[in-house]
Amino acid sequence: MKKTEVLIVGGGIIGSSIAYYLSKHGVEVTVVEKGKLLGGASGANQGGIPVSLFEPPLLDLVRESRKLYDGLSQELGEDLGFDETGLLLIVLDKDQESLLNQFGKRLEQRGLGAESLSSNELQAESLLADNVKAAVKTSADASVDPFKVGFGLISQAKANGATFLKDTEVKDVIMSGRKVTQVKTTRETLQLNYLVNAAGARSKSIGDMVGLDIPVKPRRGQILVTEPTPRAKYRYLMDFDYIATALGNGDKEEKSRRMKLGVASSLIQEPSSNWTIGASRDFAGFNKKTTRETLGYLADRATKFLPDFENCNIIRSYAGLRPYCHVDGKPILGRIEELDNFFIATGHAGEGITLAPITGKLLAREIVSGRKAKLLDSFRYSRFESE
Amino acid sequence: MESVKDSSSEPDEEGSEKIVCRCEEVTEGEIRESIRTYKLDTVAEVKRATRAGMGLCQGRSCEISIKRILSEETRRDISEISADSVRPPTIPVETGVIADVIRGGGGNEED
Repeated sequence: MKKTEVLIVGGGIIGSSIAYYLSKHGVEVTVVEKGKLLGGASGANQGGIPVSLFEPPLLDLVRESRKLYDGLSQELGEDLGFDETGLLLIVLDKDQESLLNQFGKRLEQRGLGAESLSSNELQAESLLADNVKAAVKTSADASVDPFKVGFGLISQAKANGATFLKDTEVKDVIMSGRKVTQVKTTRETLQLNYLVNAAGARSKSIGDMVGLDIPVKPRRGQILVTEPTPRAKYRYLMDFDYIATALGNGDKEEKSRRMKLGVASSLIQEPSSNWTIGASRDFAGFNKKTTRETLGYLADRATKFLPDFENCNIIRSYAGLRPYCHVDGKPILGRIEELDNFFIATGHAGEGITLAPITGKLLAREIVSGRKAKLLDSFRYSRFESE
Repeated sequence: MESVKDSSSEPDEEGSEKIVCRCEEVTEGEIRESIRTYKLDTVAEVKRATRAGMGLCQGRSCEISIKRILSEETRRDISEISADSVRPPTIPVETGVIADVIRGGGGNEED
């Protein structure tokens, strides 16, 4: 029987990042992926790193991850398309103008740069609709090419000796007391010393195998891709409504169909100069088909901010299933107390790309050192038990 | 000009500079290298790893060439290599046309 030191379930961006950082420590690691590498949510997103949107303690984790991205292209020997463009937060609704300004002030208090655009600056920006009422430009936010990040991590992990097994589904685990000793897959049974559950939207089913109830379900996000357009000055734009829909602190009694589908514009011009038009959030089980209605709302909302998009061609659409923690929307990270050798890294929701580097680094450190990483303390599985 | 279709059935180093995906300017060599590095066996994986087929034509011109390269590299018959999944729209459509689905409130209120 094949033996591996660490077995990671899930070959998405999170599993790949953990594999990379473990392999950097010289740890022998095997990644087992049900489908194709980066074939789930890791390959169906916009590559945004929206630092400004988060509140502590998640913000602390996000900031550390953002710092790791600074040196990651060099470390992986690959141009990751890291674009430190900052975010342009925009409002159409006069009522939201004061909220946006408060938001900008709070960012400054936290040492995250933010400045309001003057009405002259707004008018000078020909891309933006005339009826955009206000905009705040932040500086901490960035974007990357998610495929370059994923394949960059995989390729370096492989160079360091990591093994990636795709088309290999975990069917069951064998326990010995509080320890998982073997994993049965559709191909072979593997012996292991440590198990990491990084199975994203499907991480609940891996938890079920060891008797843990992981409160994660798939949340669908749909995205449109435009043809390439000339390089814009502002390449990462966000509808202020996004904050309400993404962070769940909006009006609970949403009356509009758009807000029910969680549609608020997140617009990113990729290194290839195509724009991705997001974002939506709804629950449809494991169905990752796009729907005409949601794509319609995405397209319509985008043209309200960027009128030139009206005649710009859409060449593709896709949807991804984000691992969403339905208790508090926060990631679930670190060692599980109930078992001796089981680690978890899931529930990243729409922040898998943002949090991949710090998740990989800290999970690897916990596995190697046996000590808990303080930054993960607010995100442990144990928070669900104290309720 | 020699096309990819005319290249020999053996992995061909001479063809490495040939452009397979014209939209994204991906060469045959890049495609072969990623198939070998990441053990790719589907068109969708090649697309994610190299951007081949991600451009304006969405693989309509290059998918057959990518399949052929995959069949050579993975030593399978080309018929065993399935097409990439369809991601609407199948031809480029203006954003405004996609938005029209929800515009007008679904009723005749404007009338």
